[in-house]
Amino acid sequence: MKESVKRTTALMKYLPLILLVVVSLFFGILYPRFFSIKNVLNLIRQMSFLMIVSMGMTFIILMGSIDASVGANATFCGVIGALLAPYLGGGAIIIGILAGAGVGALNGTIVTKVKVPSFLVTLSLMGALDGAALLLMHSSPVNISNQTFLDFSNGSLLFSLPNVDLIPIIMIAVCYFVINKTAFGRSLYAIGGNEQATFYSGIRVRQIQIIAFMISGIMAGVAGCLQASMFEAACPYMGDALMMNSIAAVVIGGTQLSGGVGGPLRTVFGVVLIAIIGSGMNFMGVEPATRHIVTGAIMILAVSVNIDRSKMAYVK
Amino acid sequence: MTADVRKTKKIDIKKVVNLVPVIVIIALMIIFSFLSPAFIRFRNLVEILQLSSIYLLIAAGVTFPILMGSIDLSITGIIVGSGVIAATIAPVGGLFTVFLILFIGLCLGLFNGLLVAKIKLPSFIVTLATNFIYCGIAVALTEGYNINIRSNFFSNISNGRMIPGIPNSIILAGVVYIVFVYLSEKTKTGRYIMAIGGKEDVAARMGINVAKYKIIAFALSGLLIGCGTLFLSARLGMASARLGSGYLFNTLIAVVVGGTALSGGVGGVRRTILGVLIITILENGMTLGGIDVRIQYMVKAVILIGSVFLISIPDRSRQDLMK
Repeated sequence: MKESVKRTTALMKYLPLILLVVVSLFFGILYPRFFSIKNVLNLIRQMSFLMIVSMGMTFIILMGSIDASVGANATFCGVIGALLAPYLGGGAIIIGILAGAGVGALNGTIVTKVKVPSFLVTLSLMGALDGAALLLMHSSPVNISNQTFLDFSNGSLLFSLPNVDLIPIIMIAVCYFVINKTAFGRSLYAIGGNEQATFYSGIRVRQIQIIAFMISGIMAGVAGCLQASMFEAACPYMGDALMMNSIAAVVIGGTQLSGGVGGPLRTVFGVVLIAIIGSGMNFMGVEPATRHIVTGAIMILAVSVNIDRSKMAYVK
Repeated sequence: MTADVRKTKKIDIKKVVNLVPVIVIIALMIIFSFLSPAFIRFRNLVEILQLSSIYLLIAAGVTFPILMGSIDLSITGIIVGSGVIAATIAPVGGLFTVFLILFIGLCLGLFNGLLVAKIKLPSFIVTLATNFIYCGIAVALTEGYNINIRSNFFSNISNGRMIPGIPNSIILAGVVYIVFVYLSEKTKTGRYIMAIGGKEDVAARMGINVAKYKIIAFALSGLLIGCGTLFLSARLGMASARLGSGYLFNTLIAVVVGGTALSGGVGGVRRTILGVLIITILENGMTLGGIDVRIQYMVKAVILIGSVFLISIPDRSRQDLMK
């Protein structure tokens, strides 16, 4: 019995890697151009928004909560950045990110103080933010011409690496450090493992939950501004796909929805896997509608493989 | 002594919370009839009831999983899925189309239930994902176009008037609703679902087949959403992959505002009708008052969170920390 449990744990640990190799080989053999330098660069660029948002989502899912508002939040922050860009230039990006942090704080406060389940709070806020974003942009794209704002994605701070590739790498490093090397990160695992016990051992659970939601909001803000800067416009619903994909990426990487198990490096694998599947479907000429079906199916599969059923007395 | 005092106080709060929906309905009616005279006209009231009838069926269906403490977020997916799949197979609009819409709704709900009860996945993540899948199927089948269903029989289900002045959908939806209220309150199935919501491990120890009744609850949800889709499609004479937007929020709000707690075991299908009336009156009144749809979204989000909070006051003790 113990043996088999051990084996499944080992399998779960390496499953994302195995899947990654299998999927890469599949598309690599099917389409020789798949691993051409041009396509790989393209792939990296495509996954940068998802990578940033998924890093934030990792904090939330580690606690056993969920943040369904990230997509709408990214759109919302992108619009705020785009609207302020003509007046503030680079400052608009900071305001956009701060707006994301504010939304995250609101999420966290409602979850912890008003005590409403996180999926419901964030789902409601998703609706409200979509509405607010549409209202702000008058339901049509807001063009950006400010050079400083555009440099946020196209400029390069380091060597000749474009920022749009650099920022996700910085975010991964920061999140890795915060989750693995700080007391805050360890208490995230503790909350995910057993919230009650963590509370009674004197850790300020509610404060940490609010901060985690703020981090997720900040990541959504960064992704939204980056997206707006990359597209040179903030468009309606531009962040919507990020919500499902980031949850799927975190879960497929091996972070359990029940909380307490996983980490940021696993999420990196998850994001790469999702991006490769997405790009592969592009090569195959799969329609957007079919992609939705595939994403949904992947999500159910990923959750059903790695959820820890022993931890849930019963499933709601 | 102190225990007694606490007990009476608790009951008082419960009574107040139970009365809130009725008071809100009356208050909204009064406010909106002052704000716009068109609101109180007979035609508008019939319009409100006709809109309510669709919401009522969907919300009544969703009440079953929520009574168990689960949730069904695939409302939009089941609406577009059942409508579009049925219309693709049988666009004629005969009795077969009617049967097919209901059957496919049931199947989609059943699939949710199987994933939740048999593979043991949390319902919110299952239904979030299946919502994606069902919508994807509907979009793939229609390629963005509407599928017209033109037949008098089909259109009469919603728009015909057996009683002069009152559309059929109001009467039919009322009958279906009463049947399901009976099912939820007077039959074994309904009581077991309630018991599972109250305390699942106790229900299991009592010998209730928890997995079976979970599947039944999700299937009932699918069936009733299918039923709502039938009236919706009949009213518009078409099925489309875009019909379902907005229903998720409105029905969840209706269920919760009516007084069914998300933690399960509290409330009932009977109470959902109050929530449905509140949300349709509110929507109709806001639209007549010229309030922007995008602002309506935000108002609804506030109402949803606020009502979840309000409903959970009587049994705060059950939820110490929130995930």
